[in-house]
Amino acid sequence: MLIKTRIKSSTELSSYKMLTVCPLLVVTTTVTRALSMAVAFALTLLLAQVIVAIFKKLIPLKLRSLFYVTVTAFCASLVEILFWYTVPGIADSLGIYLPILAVSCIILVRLESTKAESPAMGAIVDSLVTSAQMVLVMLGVSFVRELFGIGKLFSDCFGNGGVLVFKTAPVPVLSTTVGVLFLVGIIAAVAKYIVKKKKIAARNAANDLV
Amino acid sequence: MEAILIVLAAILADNLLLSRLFGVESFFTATEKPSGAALYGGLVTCVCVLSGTTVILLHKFVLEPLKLQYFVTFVSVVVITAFICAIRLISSKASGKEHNAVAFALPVISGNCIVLGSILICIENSFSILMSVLFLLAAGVGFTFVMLVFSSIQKRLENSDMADSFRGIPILLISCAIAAMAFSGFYGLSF
Repeated sequence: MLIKTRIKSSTELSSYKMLTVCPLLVVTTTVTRALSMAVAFALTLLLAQVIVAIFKKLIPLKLRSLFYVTVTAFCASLVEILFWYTVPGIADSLGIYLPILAVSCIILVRLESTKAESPAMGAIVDSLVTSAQMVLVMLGVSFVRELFGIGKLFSDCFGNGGVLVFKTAPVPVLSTTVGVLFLVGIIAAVAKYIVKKKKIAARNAANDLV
Repeated sequence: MEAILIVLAAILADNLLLSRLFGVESFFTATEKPSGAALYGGLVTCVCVLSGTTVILLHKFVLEPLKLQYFVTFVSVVVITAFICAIRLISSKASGKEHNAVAFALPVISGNCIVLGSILICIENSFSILMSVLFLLAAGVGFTFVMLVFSSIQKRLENSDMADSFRGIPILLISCAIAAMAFSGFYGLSF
């Protein structure tokens, strides 16, 4: 039942990850919203990793993926309740995307890829690294979307307040779902171009040595 | 009248895949062949309707009287997973093989947010039970529709001439953006 059995190579895994991030990126209309979503993601991943690291050896291999799904859902529910209790305004603005973390593929794939034999510390470091990558992506995307889609900087979750940079938003389409898809598509293409350039440079360097 | 509006909106204007990006990851796993896309979409619709109805009944008659609405996410995921396991078991018993096409497509649905998303939208908008079933069915049909469209788009993209770095996921995302723009033309139909 593992999701990873469907994925054959590391390039496939990276493109799969890119797609799984998309639903989370819809909420990144402002930097504040993106940051709170990233915090929710990081908390869920950390909690799930810790629980899985503790109980993994007790669960038989056949039931393990069921266990992952349930643990992720449990942690996401806890984080949702925590958000509603402490910062109801932010939880309200995130809306349905907060509970959606419960079936986030990226968390499930992360849980599946840490080995049962590895120590708990490794799992925690892994979740921190993944969360840091997530925060970077979400901050970058939300910065571009807020600046060019709304024309403001540092406004709150609902787009109120903040510093007005442009009187009329230069690219209003960026604040919609369509904008996210365009932006992520272009970022993915640029990333692919850079990786390819690096590979060619590395091959040339190796040829020079020979 | 309201029912027709909800169904049309869920299939076209508020298509969960294109307006909220729920289940975008399935582009990667199931859009190589139209038959695979149809099978996957059908399975998603099936899981959506069955588990959604169960969760909405549970929410109405168990969670709400006990004031446990906060646990609806957890309950939904457990119910969805249970239904996925049941369908997997039935399909492997019926076909006599443990690793048939259905069993192969099922695990990915557990990580597909369209099922949980449509259930939570029903609860958030407090649809009646009949409306919820209709909405869940329409959400599944809309998803299948987009999957079928994209299975042919992907075939066209394979044979077309483009910059090398755009090949694969980037061009898929951009064509998804254009499709989403086209679907937002149905905006007046949304509920």
